[in-house]
Amino acid sequence: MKAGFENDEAIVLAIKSGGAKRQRAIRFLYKTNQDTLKKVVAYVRNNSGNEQDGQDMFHEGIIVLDRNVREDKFRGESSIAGYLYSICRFLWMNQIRKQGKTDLRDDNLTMDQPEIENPESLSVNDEKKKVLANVLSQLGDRCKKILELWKLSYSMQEIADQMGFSSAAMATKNKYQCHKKLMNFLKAHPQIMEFLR
Amino acid sequence: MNEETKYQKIQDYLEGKLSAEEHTAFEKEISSDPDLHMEVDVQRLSGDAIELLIEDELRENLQGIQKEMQQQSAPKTKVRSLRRRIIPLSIAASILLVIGFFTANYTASQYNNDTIASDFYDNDLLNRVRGNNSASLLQEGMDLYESENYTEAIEYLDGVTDPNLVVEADYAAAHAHYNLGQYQAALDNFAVVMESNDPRFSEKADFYYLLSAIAADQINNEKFNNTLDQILNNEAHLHYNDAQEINKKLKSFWRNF
Repeated sequence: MKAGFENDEAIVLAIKSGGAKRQRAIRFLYKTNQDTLKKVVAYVRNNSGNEQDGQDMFHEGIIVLDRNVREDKFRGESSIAGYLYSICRFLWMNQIRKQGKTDLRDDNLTMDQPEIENPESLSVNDEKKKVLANVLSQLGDRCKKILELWKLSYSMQEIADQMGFSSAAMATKNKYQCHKKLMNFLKAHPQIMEFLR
Repeated sequence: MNEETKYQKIQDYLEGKLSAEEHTAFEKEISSDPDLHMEVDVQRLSGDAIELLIEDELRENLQGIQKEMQQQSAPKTKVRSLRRRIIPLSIAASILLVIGFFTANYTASQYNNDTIASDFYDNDLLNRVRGNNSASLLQEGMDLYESENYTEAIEYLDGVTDPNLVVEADYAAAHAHYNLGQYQAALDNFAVVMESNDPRFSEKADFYYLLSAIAADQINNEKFNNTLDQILNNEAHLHYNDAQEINKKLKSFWRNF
């Protein structure tokens, strides 16, 4: 019997629950997908990359997987391991295309195409990320942490406990103020808004 | 609609929490109201920005897991190389150092984070957690823990999803991480148990959270200070006396020696 989460569905549920359950699920995923990691490293090495690139792609793949699960884009039509591998492969293909290397050796894997952007939109996305990072720099670390916990589905009581607020209501109030600050900055910079749209 | 209500409605819309009817009505409203359209756009884009924070944090966590796994796969080499360095250093030190320095050094060592954590850590689990459940994953995990197979124990314990057992499993997993020297993971799990307010474990988790933070050298933060203060201000706390002693050690002159 495989130890830990009973099946992919349990992992998906845990990631969607957020908080510590999500962290445990991701840790479990990482540890039980070492074969996928080896496959990703092998694919990357066969296509102009090295071991470290492969390891990085594996991490980026888990990041995309996590978001897709949270946003209901993973439909469970393939196994998590297969889905993760196809994301990593897609991300690497996209990266080397951007670097102008096109001699890809495809391994003819027939897995579901993950719900991630096409290469063109990914390159725009990188630019957007830089702008978004600038937008975020308007917030203090405390505000960033509150918003991050909220986005990860922590309850207001959990946020209050973690951030030292006296109550869930105080956490709600602070979350609102932090989010408002971020949004006010965007509103005050229509050119940024336009770029990000 | 006041500002906060509007904010919440937009959030519910973006998260798909509106009913089909509400969703359609709200979309109609958006298309006929440019200001509202703008508000929705801003809120959506701010969500993308927050998502970036999550990515960064997760990237860091993944690097931490990778490091842990690398450390686990090569523990013996590490110990040997440490010995190779320590032995000649010890010989040199024994020649050069005067007895007074030894004494002072020994005293100071009693106040460093590693010593404090290991002095106060007690495998506070086996007799207190076991006994009242038969859920297979938890039981397997506890058996593996008892036989000191901590890594495997964690895999079983992490799989426990029954709300009635999950706090017990988290508490056991936290101790397993601690025993593996995975203090960050131990911190995460003890924090979850603290937040559960389960009377069986929450006070113990407060205390072991402190020890994990000390072992991980993460004592200069709000959560650590709040937890320590909370125990120090509650004489009825299970670990009140231990917390007093730890607090003295943390504030001791010898820590800076």
